Amino acid sequence: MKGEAYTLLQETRQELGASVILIANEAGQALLYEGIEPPQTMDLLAALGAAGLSALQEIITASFKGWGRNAHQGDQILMLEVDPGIILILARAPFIFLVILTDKTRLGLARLLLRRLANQYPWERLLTTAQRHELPLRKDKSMSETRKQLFRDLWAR
Amino acid sequence: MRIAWDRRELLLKVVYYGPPRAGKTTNLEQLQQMIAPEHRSDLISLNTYGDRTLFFDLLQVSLSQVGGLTPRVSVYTVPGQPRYRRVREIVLRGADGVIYVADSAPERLGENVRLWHQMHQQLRRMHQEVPILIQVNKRDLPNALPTSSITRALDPHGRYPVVEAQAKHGIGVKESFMQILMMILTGETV
Repeated sequence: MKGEAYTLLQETRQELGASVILIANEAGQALLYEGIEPPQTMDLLAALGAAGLSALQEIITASFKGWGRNAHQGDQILMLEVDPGIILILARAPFIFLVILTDKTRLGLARLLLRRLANQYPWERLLTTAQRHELPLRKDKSMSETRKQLFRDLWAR
Repeated sequence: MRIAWDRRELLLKVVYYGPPRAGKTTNLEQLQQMIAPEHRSDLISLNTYGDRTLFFDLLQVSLSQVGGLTPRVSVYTVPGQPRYRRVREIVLRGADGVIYVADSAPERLGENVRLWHQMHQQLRRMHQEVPILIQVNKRDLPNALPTSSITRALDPHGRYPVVEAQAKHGIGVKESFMQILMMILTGETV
């Protein structure tokens, strides 16, 4: 089943000449990706995911009123110019579809293909339910010990 | 705050809030330089294609494992300009802790107070009760207001911890960041 999803990603990426294409859940965890992963992709994705997918959608709506005119609610596309290419994000709950383009002339095509991709497969099958639990840190340990442990090796020398 | 059990990660969100040009992005830039590269991402400013901006900066930081989990912190700034009130609220949503960056210049006191109240309104509206730390920045200004004048205007009852800073020189940046994380993770100040 996952093989079929992977093939779809591969086809779309090749059609676009994109360097990477991926699908993440709303927490920003990549569920499936295809292509070469530029170093900042996962960080960007995780950061966007941490903002929350619905927040991301709202930001897109608030910042790109003209853009979203023809898009359906929950089907907004965001473009970011980040080295080494252009990142195109389709925010459609509960997923984030992301593609990195190196060829700017394919932006229009990329928007179309991302939407097609989102409709082409029951992506929900990739999703595992995120669990919420109580934080296990608020007990026992002394403050200084926690602090020492937490920030160990964090700072550049 | 979320836990990704499959990766044993604790996902946290810290937001730098405050008036325009108070030094929020400078804090992130300094943090980026101070943190060992293997523990952080690049600082990403979300500039869109063309002349539109998504209006926030973010930096990801991984801490050392504690309680069997690796905390991964997404650090955001909000845009300070009045017209971006809505974007500020969206970025603030889901925050686990806030560092309020106040400007020490006397002429910015009104803005400090206005944004401070706006932040509280937004948090109340979203039913979010989160640890807040006040960072009084630009202490090196020759005409800087006394810290006590600023904090009295913001927090007359002294409920929130205060850190003095000169973010552009890196002073107080690390302390603020560590303190807000300790407040989030342990519920206490240090």
